[in-house]
Amino acid sequence: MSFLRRFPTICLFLTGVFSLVSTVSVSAAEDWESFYDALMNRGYYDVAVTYLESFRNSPSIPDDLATELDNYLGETTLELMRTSATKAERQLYSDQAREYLDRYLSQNGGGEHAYKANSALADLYTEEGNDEQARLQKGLSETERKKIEKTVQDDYAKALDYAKTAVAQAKEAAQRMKSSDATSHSAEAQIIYADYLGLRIKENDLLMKLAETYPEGADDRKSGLETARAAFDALYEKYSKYPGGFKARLLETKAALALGDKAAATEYLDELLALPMSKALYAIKTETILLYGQMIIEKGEAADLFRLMIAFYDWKYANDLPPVFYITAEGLQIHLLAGQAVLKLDGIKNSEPKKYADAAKTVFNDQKPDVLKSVTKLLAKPDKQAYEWFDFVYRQKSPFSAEAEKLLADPVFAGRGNPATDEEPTTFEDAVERLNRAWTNFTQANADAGNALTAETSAKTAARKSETARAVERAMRAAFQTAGRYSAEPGQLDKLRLQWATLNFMTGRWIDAEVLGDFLLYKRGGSAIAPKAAEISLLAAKSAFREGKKNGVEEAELDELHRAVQSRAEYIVQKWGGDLTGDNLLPVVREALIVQMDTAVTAGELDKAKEFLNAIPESSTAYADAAIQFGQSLWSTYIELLNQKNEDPESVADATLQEVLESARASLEAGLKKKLELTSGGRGDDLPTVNAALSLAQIDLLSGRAQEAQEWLLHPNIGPLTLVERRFAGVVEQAAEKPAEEPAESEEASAEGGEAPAEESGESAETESAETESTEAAESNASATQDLILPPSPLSDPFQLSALTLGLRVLVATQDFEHAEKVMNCLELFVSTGVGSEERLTLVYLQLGKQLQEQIQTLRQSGDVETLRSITSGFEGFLDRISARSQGNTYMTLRWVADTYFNFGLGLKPAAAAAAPTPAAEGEEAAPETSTDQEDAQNAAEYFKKAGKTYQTILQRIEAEPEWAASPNAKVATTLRMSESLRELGRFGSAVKVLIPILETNETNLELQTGAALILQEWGKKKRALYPRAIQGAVPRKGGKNLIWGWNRIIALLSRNIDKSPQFKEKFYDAVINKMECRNEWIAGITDPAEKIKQAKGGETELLKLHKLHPDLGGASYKKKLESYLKAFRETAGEPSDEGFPQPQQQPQEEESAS
Amino acid sequence: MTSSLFSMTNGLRHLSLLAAGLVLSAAASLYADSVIVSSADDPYNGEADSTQSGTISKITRDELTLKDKAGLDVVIETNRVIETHFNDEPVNLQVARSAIDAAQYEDALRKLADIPKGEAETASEFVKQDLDFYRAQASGLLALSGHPEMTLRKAGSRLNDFVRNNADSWHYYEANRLLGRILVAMEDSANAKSFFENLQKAPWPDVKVEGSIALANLLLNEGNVDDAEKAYNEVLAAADAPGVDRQKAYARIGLAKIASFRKENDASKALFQEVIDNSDPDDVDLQATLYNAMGEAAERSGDPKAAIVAFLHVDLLYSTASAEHISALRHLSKLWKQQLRDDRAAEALAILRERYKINN
Repeated sequence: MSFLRRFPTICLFLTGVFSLVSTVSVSAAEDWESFYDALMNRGYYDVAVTYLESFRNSPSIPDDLATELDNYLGETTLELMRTSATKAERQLYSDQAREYLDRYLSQNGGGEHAYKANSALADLYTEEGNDEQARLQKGLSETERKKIEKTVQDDYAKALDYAKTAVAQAKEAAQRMKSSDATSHSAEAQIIYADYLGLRIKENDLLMKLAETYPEGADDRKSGLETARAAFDALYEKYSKYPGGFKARLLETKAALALGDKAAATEYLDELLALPMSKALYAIKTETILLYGQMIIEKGEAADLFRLMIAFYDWKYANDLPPVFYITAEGLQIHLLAGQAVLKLDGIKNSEPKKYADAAKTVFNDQKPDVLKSVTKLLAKPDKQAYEWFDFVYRQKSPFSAEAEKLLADPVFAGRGNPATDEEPTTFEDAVERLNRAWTNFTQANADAGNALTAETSAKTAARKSETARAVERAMRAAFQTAGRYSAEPGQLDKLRLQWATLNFMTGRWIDAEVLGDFLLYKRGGSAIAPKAAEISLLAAKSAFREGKKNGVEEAELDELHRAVQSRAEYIVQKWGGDLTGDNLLPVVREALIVQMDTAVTAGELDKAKEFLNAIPESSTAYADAAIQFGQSLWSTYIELLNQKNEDPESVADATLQEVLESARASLEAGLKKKLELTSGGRGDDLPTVNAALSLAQIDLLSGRAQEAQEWLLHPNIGPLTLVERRFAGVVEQAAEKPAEEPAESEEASAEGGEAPAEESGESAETESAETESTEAAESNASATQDLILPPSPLSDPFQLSALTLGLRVLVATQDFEHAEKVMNCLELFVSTGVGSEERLTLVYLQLGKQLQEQIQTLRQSGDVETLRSITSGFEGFLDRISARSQGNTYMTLRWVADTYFNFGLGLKPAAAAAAPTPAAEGEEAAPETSTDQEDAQNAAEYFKKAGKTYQTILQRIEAEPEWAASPNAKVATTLRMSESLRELGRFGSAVKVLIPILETNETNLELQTGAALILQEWGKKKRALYPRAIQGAVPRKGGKNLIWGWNRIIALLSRNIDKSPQFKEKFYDAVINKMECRNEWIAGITDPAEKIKQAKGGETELLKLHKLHPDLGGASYKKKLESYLKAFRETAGEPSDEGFPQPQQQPQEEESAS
Repeated sequence: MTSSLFSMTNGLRHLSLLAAGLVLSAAASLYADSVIVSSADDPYNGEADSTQSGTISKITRDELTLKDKAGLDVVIETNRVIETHFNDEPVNLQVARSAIDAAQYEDALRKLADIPKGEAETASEFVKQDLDFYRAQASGLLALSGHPEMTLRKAGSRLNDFVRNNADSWHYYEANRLLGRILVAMEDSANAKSFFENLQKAPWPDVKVEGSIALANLLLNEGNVDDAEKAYNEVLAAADAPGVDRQKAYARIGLAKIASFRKENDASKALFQEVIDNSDPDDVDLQATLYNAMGEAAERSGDPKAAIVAFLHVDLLYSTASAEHISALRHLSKLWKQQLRDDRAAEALAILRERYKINN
């Protein structure tokens, strides 16, 4: 029966008993309670019974369990009964539980835990009554019906008696607790009070159930319901702050409904729906949503349906309820109601748009924008959503599956496929048909899992894959069973075996796949399916070997796995390979050859691998496919080795990596060229070939052959980018023609649920479509692009995303910026239509930025000024074009553009003067700049200006549309970068001014404070008085504290966290160096010699103190820098010395004490 | 078999060490070296008792000498030492120690690998010893947890290097103990024997007895039941001393196994019960060993349900003892299949796969 109905009881019971016994001193060492608890939590009720029973008549039974054994056994067996699938089992466990509990009560009738046993017996009879009542729904004769009704009444009446006894006993126990100050507030007392409340609710719930067994209009029914309702009302009034009180209110609602008082029920439900979705209220909220849904679904008023959808969204998507809530009887029914609600709403939207709009406006008016947005999304594709929820219910194989199946039969779902029924198949053909349906679902789920691009979708699709795989297994078993029963042909059974082998392979069960595949390979070698079976067996063996190698299994085991692969491959080549020259070389033979090559590569025998490939004559058609496949295999191996090397640099030699990469390239190129020759230039629907072109382009880019990479990507027939762009042709223009910001034609928009704001359309707020508001308010600008539909493509989403991202990188590398922009548009459109993720896009941009930065650095180091200028100016044109676009730019695009300008500026900025500080002396001239330096400085300033301007554009856009930014931190981060741009331009005052408002609300942001101190420090070069401000802070506020902290306070804060992470440590020493720089520069300007010496000595002392506290001084590099400041201070103080910081052992003990 | 210091009440110990570590990180630069020493009265409780500061002047496998602030030599027996902290040690070494305490062995290895080569090379000999030991220890514990990339062979080689090159380290016995366990896991009894014999040479009775138990276990593994029985009985006859009781519990487990092999099921059960009644239920390693032994005995006697109950104790209550947990899960997956509970067999296999990356 319902999990939710028993959930509170279970909790109260478990909490109560365990807490009570835990206070008793345990003499035996066995931690039986913890073990029992863990078994119950895992649902191993049967083991718990076995475990408890093992203590009966045992001298080692723990003292605290001895008296309670039957009570525990009764409750545990009751759980076993609740989770039993068959009626016979339920009856068996019910009888056992009764026996245990009766025995317990006969021996401990007046004991302090007797009320729990009586409560459990009440549950037991309630369950039995519920079982009987369920039978009433089936077609019965009048006599039978009456008989069952009587049994139900009797069961509920018995349950009520036990509940009443339990209430009386719990009351006594509670009063005993309350009577003494020592116990009245104890934890034990709290549990008993809670149990007492729970039992009173249970008692009145049973009273209501009993009343409902009487016919409509009967006095017994009315009086019972009224009594229960009054009792619930009293409990709610008394405990209105506790979950128990809300539970009473929920039951009061049910009683009111049963009595026909719908107005009161509605009022109560509104109260309950408004409760927060907190953990303690999950069960109550779930029941409330169900009750509300059941109440409103028939009438189907739009406003009620909208409310139901909001509650459903809150329950299903906005909170993290334990998944078990979704598969309870209540949860499943809620899914069905939600599906019906979206379909009904869609009907109203189409037939009575005004009514729909008005209702939406009323209901969504006081909802938060994110709720509005999310619910609108659910409503956008009603048939898809409804199908998903109905299908979910159907698959749970519960009593509600039948209803779900009926709902799924609605013509609106035509084309989505009908789920297989759960009834046992009647013929072998029937079983096979069901298996095929299950198989279709599985293969789709498998493809979805392969297509998943984000962690979230990956987890969901993986779960769906295993769920459908289980369904296939069930169908497979059923098929084998019926095959035996109906004498299927052996060939048919072999087909099933092949399918099973395939399933095992696709779900990573290599051994099972090998065994089944081998059976068909060796025992049915002459059959038509043998080659396919052989392929599965071979691939499974290969996967087992790869996995074993990855997992570091022992060498002997690995050798065995290797032999398993080789023996199969050799057998296959021998059996079907002939002389390997035939044009019709079986795919499995090719696979066997590849496997042989592949395992040779994995085993580090590259030459041997090549020998296998060379065994196929280059002139044969098989060669092209084999070479491509071999190249792909080598490419995968290269990636594996690279990952291995990243983890352990010594594990793989550079030369090995290079050799594998070059071999992969050579093989792919040879295969592709041959393929193009054989197929008159290649075909776009030949996916392995297209895939190979992508891999080759990746390798080419990696090897510095951007031009070749571009050629493969843009090959007219098989170029991955060509094919993807072809798909986007027209759609990008469509997106450009229908910009999100642009209001649609008002009349048309209104007629369709509209997109034009009221002000612009000139219509009054009342007549405006409510969906207009909801959509506009909720959806971001991306909504326009989400409406665009890309034509279908045989290429998977991850493949297309890879082609676009690789294309962008290659085109930037070859400086084809015009084309790069087009690809960028496709990429962003692809992401905005729901494929991929913003994170992925950011990563692409970051990779691109890094690639550029590396290119520029290399060129600067090599002194290739021409190429450097050509690249920067070419790329600048690309950036200018992106930033100048009036529409379509996302936050990420613009940030990337601005950051790239900024980095160009930093890259061209002339290097700072000598890194080591010099003794402080005023009026020293900086070294004269060369003309190249001046030119670079001018160019750098231009880039900083462009960066600043773009940051400003971003900030203006964020100000106007806060939702446009990717994250809440976007404003702070962009402001900081803008102030840095101004700082680099020497506009220090503006830089500080930009930071102040953001500092007001983010004073403790270390990045901002560091940025502000750096501005003051840089400003100090022009205005010396600002050096002390950089150290001590600036912009005083009320109370005397500075808004800009300065290095002193930054250092103080960091010093407390220096050991928390290397980053903090680094920031700490950076701040110290900056402070020393400011101090040294400040001292240089002091004219009074005595003061100058005093300040320099102060600097020296400060550094020595720092050394005493942190002898490592942040490592060699920082220590060296700080030592140069130490020497500079000493020199300024007139005490020059070559000595640095004292050695650690020189620290005398007195100094330690002093410090 | 594991170290008494490193096996018990890991959670509490970890917390106390973290606290001590925080104090030390602030104090390390003001004072010189520090030693966290367990209580002299009960050196086996594994909880940090006190921190002694000064300069560590000498370390042997049995004793550590610390020159305190007053210039006096304080000699501490190494079985009381929980941790040392050296003034010039890299911060990552501290972090790695804490990571090992929290069973985050991969993190510990990463932290140790992050220490710049120059810093490690210029460190004092004592710090180098620590670096080598913790690297070997983390590798060993990781390998025993069934990690796919840290093979027993690789970890064993690291520990062997440490034992060979650091006979005077205060980690010497722990390294021997761990290396012995690894060799047992590799089914290399012959080599394991010599490392367990090294434990018998320790000056403390409990470590000596621990060595005897480990050797007796080897005998039992080899099928030399009579000699194993004799060895276990010798342990039971050992004089009382702190920590020896715990080793006697292991001896009883060994004797219970022997009784089970001889089909003396009642005697076997009685011995197991004696351990249950008299041992600390929070001693994870001991309890995990006990319940696995009980499970195997129940399997042998043809009582799969009792075996399941025993192995579930390890799975549900003592799963932090990784090696024992893996063994229990393997038994459970087989037993559940026999009981036609494929769903539960799958659960056990899923834990093996997800937590330990073991696919069989």
